Amino acid sequence: MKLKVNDKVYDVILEEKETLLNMLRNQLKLTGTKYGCGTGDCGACKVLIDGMAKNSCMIMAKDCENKEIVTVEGIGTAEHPHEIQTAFVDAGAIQCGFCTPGMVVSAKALLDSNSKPSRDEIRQALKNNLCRCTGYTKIIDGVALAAERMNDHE
Amino acid sequence: MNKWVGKSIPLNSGLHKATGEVMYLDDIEFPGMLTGKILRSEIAFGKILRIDTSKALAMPGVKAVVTHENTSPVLYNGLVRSINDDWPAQETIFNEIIRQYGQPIAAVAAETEKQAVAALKQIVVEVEEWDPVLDLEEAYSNKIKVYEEGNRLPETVKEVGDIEQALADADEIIRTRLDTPMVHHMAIEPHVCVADWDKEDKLTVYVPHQGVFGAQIGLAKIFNKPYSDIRVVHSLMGGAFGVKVGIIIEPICAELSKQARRPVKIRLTRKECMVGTWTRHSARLYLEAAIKNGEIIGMNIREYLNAGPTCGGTHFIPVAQSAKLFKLYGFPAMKFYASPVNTNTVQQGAMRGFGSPKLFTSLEIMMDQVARKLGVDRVEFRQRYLLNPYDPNPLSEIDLISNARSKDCLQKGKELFGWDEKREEDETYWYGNGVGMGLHGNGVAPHAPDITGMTLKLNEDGSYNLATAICDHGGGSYTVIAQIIAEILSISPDSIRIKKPDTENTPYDLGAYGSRNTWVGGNCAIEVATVMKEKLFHYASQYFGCSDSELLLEDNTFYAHDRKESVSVRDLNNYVLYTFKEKLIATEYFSSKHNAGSYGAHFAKVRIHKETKKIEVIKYVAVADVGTAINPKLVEGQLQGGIQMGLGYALSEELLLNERGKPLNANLKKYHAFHADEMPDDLTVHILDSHEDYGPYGGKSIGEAATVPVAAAVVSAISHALDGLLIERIPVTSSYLEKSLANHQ
Ligand code: FES
Ligand code: FES
Repeated sequence: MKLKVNDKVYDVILEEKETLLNMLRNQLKLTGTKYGCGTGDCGACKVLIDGMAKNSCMIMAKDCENKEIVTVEGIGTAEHPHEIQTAFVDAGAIQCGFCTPGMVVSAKALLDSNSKPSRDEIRQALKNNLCRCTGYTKIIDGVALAAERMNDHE
Repeated sequence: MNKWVGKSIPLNSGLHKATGEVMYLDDIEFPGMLTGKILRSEIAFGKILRIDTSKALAMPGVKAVVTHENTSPVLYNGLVRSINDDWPAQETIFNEIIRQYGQPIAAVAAETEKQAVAALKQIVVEVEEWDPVLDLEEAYSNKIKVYEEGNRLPETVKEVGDIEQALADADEIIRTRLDTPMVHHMAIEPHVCVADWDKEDKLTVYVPHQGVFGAQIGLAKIFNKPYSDIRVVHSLMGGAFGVKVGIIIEPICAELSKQARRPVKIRLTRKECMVGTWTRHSARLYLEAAIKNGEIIGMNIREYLNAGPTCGGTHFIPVAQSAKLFKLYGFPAMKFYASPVNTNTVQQGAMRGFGSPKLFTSLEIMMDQVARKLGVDRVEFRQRYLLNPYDPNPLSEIDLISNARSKDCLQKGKELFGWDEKREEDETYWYGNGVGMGLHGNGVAPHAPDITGMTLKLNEDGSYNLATAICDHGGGSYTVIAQIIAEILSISPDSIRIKKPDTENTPYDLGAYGSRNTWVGGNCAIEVATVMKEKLFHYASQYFGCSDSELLLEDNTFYAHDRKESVSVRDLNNYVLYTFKEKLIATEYFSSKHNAGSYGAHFAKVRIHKETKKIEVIKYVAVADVGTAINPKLVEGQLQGGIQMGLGYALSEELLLNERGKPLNANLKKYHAFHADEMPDDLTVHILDSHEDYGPYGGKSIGEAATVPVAAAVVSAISHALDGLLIERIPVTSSYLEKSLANHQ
């Protein structure tokens, strides 16, 4: 089967009951997407599927044919970071970093559909991403900062 | 004027974390690596009558199956700090006696995860189930014994003044009690470990561990190997909060690797993290305040502390608690008695605050009750008893109070919060204001050796490498250490690359717990950078033929003769290499002699829905005394994270067991930690302007202190909203409120 991830089409071998999360991590070696719970409750495994932030641990790989999948690696790299990623750094939104890829993905989905979110809209957009380190405040700051910078550039 | 210390520079490795490019252990594959999976007990107390692994062993891809029948039977305590610690040793890798739900009873290593899971299902286990003991006081009574010797672990008693006399003299004695929950640490990175027992019989363990040298002690004991044949390598840590201090899955992983002679990785599921690692110790505390002429003349505290099936460091919690307790309020008499007990709950262990959150929550509930009874403003009442900076420590002459600024924290918080004792309500809600005080320490001195070492190496190009066995949990310890070194050597923090803990390649460190990193690590960074600086000055003065005092070091360059001449550290290094045939490297060990308190005063405003009893925190102010904030933004981040954890402790987080000891909510859907939308948006964290004499650049810890006063402040606010209702358990859930309000009427 074919899977389109970060604008690249991969030929993948489907294993029985394989989640998208396992497929990304084990076969495609896209390890930026994390396992945090496997039950759809932490958001560490979030990826964009056709622009929506989804928990990849709850989605079967076989259901992703003909979908556009974007992982954190597809959003930016250290060499060419996305504004969200640099804003996270500047705002102090990152501590251990384990929740961060999922947070960046949720932030991307939000800012793609709403370029000027209110603080409350940001909180709502991040409410399915757990973080144990930051207390969320600086992550919310980071998303707000990214939105501000992205709007300035337009 | 400092160039780097005191500046909010961004976190070390931040960008690579934001792009997902950093590698945590589970992202790394080792050549020939197998996957390990653990079979766990479904009962809390009983005995394995028969275990048959023959079918599992015959399954495809299976390379090793381990149980109590074919593994090291050595009894150990996975938390010990030195080779001669005689802490109660109640752990074994596997055991035919089952003492908790989720106890490992077998493990499999196979080529793939699927094969390992399939093989686990083929293991046949017959067990006999016994009635478990789950309640702390029942365990204390020894009616049901977890071990033949009984359930009581070494107790702690600390007393100043004469509490019996105070209670006898009192006009009135006020009594409170508090039950506190088992809390899941919820590091978002699950426990993971790779063990490689190689063909030459050397064991290498890769693990995001808080103390690689501590892990080495335990593994050496279990496998009866010289330390030199055991290497523990730290991997990037995705959060810890205390649950990555001991050895938990490492011994199983090592046994599998030993038998399979291949590297084995075990990564726990979330459920396993919740029931198969450990939780914050649950406890029950009883307090008595002796009141005479409107003043507290005595405070008596009795604590039953849950260890779960094995001791670990539990007996040490009350020792640590007492070291904080006597540093907050000065009462004429105070006694603290604590009895840790074994039970058949899941295993308990260290968690951010190491006993301080429960202790200060209970004490602050009492302070509220007494203030209320006496009709005194709750903030003013606390001010009366708080110790002043440099007061003598009533408990210990060597453990100094030094510049303890709790009074200033309280005063500042009061202003920022707009403190008011007036209760409000409207048609839908009751509102309440609360205050909570507390502290945590800085390392384990002065009662135990508190040592860390660092090696700083100057490279040919003028950049530096630092080797340290201190780990960065994610909070930014490495950023802070780099700032300090950068300050001293006049370089940019980016030009220091820090090598992660590795028992073979980094100097000794006790372990990244007890809020040591800034305090001990920061001081060691000063020493090692200062030694390097002295060497540089020594050679620079020879290079220019002038005295040290005529030299200026700026941006990694020496200037001499009124800036007319200069040499970069890069070129100086080359000069030293060829002229003196010396390599510039410095190794220093720092041993901490003092242990300051990091204080906090927190304020919370809650509203409680009159119908549903839903509690929301709508405003929050935290003031912290961390001495000098070496990186203020990182301190804020610690406070905000500590508040998230404390709010859960106060209101929602609790691992529940049924009457057979089986968990009821071991997943993140039912176990509820605070989400982004539930945090109070009106949240202020304030760092008091202060300076700690023994701290690096006057700084001290915040990691654990951040969470200590939170539940106290929230409970205080709830009680205020409900006309002084005495809260006797946390978390305060809606159903608990419902019940206690009904009883109250
Ligand atoms: S791993 Fe998918 S939501 Fe937690
Ligand atoms: S930064 Fe550690 S979990 Fe969010």
